[in-house]
Amino acid sequence: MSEITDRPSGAAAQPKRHSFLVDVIIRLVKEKPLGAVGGAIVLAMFITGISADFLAPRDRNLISLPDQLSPPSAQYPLGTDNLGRDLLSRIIFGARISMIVGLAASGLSVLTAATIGVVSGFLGGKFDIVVQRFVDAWMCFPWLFIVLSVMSLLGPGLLQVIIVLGLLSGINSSRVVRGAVIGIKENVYVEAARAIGCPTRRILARHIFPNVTAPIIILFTVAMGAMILAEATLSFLGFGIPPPEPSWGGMLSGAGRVYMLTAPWLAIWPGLALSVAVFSINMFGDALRDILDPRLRGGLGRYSKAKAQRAKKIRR
Amino acid sequence: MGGYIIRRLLLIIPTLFLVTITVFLLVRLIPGDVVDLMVGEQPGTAFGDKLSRAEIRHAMGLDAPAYVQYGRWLLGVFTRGDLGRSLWSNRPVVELIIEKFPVSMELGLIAIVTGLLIALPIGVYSAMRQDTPGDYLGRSLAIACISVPSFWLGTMVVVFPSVWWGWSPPLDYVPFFENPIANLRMFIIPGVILGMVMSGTSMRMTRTMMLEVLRQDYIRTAWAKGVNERIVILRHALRNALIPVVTIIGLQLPVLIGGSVILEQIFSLPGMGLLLLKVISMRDYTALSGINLIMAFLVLIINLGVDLTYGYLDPRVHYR
Repeated sequence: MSEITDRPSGAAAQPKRHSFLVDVIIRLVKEKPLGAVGGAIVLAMFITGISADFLAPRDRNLISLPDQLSPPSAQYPLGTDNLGRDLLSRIIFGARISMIVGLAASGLSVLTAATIGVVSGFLGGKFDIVVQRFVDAWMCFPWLFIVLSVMSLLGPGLLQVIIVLGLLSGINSSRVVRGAVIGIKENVYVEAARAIGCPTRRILARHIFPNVTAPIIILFTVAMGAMILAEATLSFLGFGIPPPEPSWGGMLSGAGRVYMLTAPWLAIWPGLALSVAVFSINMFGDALRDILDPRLRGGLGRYSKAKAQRAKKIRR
Repeated sequence: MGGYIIRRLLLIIPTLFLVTITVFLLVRLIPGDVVDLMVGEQPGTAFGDKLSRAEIRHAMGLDAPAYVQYGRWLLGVFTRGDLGRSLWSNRPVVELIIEKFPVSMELGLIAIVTGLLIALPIGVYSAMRQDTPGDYLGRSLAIACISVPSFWLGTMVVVFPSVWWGWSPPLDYVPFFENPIANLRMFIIPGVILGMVMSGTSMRMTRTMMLEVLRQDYIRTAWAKGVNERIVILRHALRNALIPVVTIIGLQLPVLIGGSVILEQIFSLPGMGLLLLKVISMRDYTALSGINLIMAFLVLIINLGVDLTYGYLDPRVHYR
């Protein structure tokens, strides 16, 4: 962080203080323009999802057989599918499904991870050992196998997708929170709090939890991309969001697949929307991680350009 | 070393035990009755339609209490390696898995090799030229690899060459030993796609580790004594940076297996993934638990193997 070392020492160096959120946004735009662009695209996707009812030119499920498989035109900007449904409207509504799954499943995931991680990491001892063996057991299942198995038991549906994906990924990422908690637990202020007789509940709430918010925010953004991708995969395989409702993954599978050779636009747009959305979330999450948690940054120091140039000079 | 392996194998036992409970419970939680499904949908498949439901249930051991059933199943698994018989085809589940396994393994091997071929050079380049446009491009590429869904890539490969040039990937499975070339032509595209999906994480890991190694004193010494860049990077830096990258490959195994389900379906490769989908659609729960158990076991063993390769790659690591 050159910013800190460059800053002249003294009280005058601190110009003005922003709130945490504003500060993060300013640093994001300044230091990680690509991440900021990603964030803007994610925001655009959320707005699309929320206002899908106004943005979509047509009813997403309106079947119009005369127009079936029509190529992109003024009337249907992205063409229609095998039942004559407007692809653009379906993609706009697909954003809503992805948004809901992304937010809800990663919310659930983070909640699960925080609960398991904080309790298991803080209590330690036998409890921790037992819980961690359970986590081990979960982690060694290939996720798609276990998710498909559970989804086949529960049947397809939005709520099932959210619960299954959220819980599973929460159990897996509880390790990260646990690791952070174990590190924080050893701090003197925790010992001090205990010495003055703070109950465990208060230590957890006031001393442990606030210190794991950075990893938790990071987990949330990382999980969001993964959850959206996982929902699309499930829907693609027919275990996610049941048809007529348009999910980006589901639109690439099912009956439409047969017609893709004659109507290739069916194959492009849902996948492109999905890829752009997940790519943006991941870019954003990556930038956010660099800003929020310097310890997780790629490499601890810099193999800097200056050093590389010096090395080059020496070789000459 | 021997003691370490034994201790690690012992640690696998409680985990595996929990895995069996999870798998078994999964089967018990099925809504509806397997026997009803069998009698209703496919009379006469497994046991003949002359038997009554009670008799079928007894023959399948489903009339015993749950813990007795679990005990029997567990005993079968551990003493005889018997995962039970498929509810529909009545063939031993082990036999089904052995038949399909090589296909998935071939796909996985191609994916790992291409994944590394993509990830290592780009990751190393990114680290050498940190914060240059080349590095930004490499990092964006890594995130793109993680973000683009394999089923979309697969779909595009199936659709567009066929639309533009009338070429489509071969979809009739040929075993490797019958016709290696035809077999590879079938595997190479899904293998490369799966490799691309995997390469993102290893690319990032390679970059991070290279950055860390490149700051070390011995690298500076190497530069100072005038060793040329190729040797500094390949012999001094990369060898040390590779160790954690190997772990990532182990950790990505579940991702690899999951991805193979999708690609096997798109390119109709008769492997474990396709078997899984078939078994689920047929509600064949014995086979389903068998497959899940085998997969989990495999992941555990391979992760152990990955830990052991540490010692080979890094002589500083001692197993105690």
